Amino acid sequence: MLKEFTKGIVKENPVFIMALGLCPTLAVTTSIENAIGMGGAATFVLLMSNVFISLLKNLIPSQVRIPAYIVVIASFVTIVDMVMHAYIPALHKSLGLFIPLIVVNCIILGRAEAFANKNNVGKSIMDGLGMGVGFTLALVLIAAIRELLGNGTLYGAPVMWESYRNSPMLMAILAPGAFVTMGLLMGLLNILNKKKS
Amino acid sequence: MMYYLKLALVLLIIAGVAAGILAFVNSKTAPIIVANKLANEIEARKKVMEGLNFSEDFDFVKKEVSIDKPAGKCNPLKIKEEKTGSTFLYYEVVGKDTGKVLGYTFMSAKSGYSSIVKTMVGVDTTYTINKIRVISQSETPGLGAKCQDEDFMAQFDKKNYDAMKVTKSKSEIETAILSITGATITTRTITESLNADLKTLAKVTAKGGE
Amino acid sequence: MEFAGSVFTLAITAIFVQNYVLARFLGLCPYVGVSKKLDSALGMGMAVIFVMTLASTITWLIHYYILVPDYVYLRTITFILTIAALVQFVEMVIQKIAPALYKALGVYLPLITTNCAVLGVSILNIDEKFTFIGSIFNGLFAGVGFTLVLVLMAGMRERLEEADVPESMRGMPLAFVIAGIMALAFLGFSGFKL
Repeated sequence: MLKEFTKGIVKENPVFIMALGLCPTLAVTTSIENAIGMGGAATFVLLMSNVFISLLKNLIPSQVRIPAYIVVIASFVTIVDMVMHAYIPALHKSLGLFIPLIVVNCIILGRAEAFANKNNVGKSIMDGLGMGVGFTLALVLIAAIRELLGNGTLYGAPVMWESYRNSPMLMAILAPGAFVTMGLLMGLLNILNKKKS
Repeated sequence: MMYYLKLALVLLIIAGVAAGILAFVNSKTAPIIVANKLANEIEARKKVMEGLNFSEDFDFVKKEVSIDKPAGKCNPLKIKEEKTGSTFLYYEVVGKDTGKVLGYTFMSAKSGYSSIVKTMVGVDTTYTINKIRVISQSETPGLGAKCQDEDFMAQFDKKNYDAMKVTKSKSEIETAILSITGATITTRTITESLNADLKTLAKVTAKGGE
Repeated sequence: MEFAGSVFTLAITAIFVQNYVLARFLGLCPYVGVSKKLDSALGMGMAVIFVMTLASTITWLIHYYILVPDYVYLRTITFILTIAALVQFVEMVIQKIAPALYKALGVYLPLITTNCAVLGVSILNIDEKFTFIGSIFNGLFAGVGFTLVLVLMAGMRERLEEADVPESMRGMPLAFVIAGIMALAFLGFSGFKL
């Protein structure tokens, strides 16, 4: 059981190892706050869709399973969208377009197809949580690097000295920084993985 | 045939249940979203009048006047918004005891680099800005989004509308608005929209209000 | 004349200034996934242009004639289902009437359903208040911008196959770093406010 949870965090990390869900990973990681918001929203959708698809797997004929999964996922995404808009409007605004786009996050449909429709509810919950946490951690890691270099802060708190914060390395927080940070992190993980094996 | 009907039926049931649940959640959250937006505006309206020491408490009185704004450049590829250009909406700050007008607040909106930037502005009766608050924007994070920083917004304190110019050099900071690094467009947008709306306000209220 | 000018402005904005891949981070999965070979990049690009234009057209009509004003909250769910159905439909039609084209594009079509750029464009058309004609053009130019960077990327990656790169950076990591440098180049367009 625990294995289903931990595999999503390191060994099968959805972002770094499987390279899924890249759009939100790069788009919203301009600050740790955004990263946590997106990670939380995606984890909720992943968990709920895993649970429901695992429960419904015997009722859905396999020819129409993909549209059925899409409906389930899209419903939870819309719920998250509405609830965030109502209770955390500022975060909702800064994540913007990427909340409805959780629908097409390949991690969620991928887990539904590859795991939840073959396993029981308990395992699917652990899998969903693990993948969600893995996704969130990856987002927070990238966001921490970009926020620190590009804004001189971590989770909004000033970390770097003042003259740095006045003219930070803006590139890190802009689009190019996202791609380069991601590429270098992936390379670093490759080195670490090779050392271990 | 029966088999395909069954497939369709299953999908239909799932979609129906989903739509029902969404309708329910929507009915719960929609009023909160509207209320939040309103509360935000009210709070911002109070904030921009902070620091002006009047001898009495005050209320906000909504005023709406029709003005003839020159039709701006309109993009044939975008849907025209119905109301813009015809009315100007502002709030009079009215003293509770004397009933005198102590100042005005209004919301200024203009399309910036990648979003519409909405700014709440509080002015006194000489049309000098007391404070501004950027209440809604989605400009580039790290660049234009810094227009919501306190340091940036504080630059507008006590500025008169004909004194607002955007500069990039720190030596002119006393008289002008220092542009956010790499986000001159956002800075200009805010300054221009304030300038234009302040002029309109001055014109409208000088006529004697209504 | 004014109309032509607006279309031109929109083209420059969607293709260069606010490129859907490099500035808005949409459609990254196919961008790093299908950019290993120039042929497949071109095929994918064409398929995306086609589906994006069609999806922009249909989702706009659905939004303004069915969802507004009472069912706007069902937007995400209807749009994604429309796109999924559309992709299936296009696949069937092309297979029947143009087998040669199907051979070239067929394998990429199913991948497009989960290409977030397609749903992204459909939603942005509504959020940015495009008219019907405007959203068709926006879909078209977004697709062209996607194809442009995809093909550029594929061209570079084909050459890098030969290059001597540290082993840990091969493949995906290098693709991202290159994408970052391309994004830096495209950032040069961002001074334009059209």
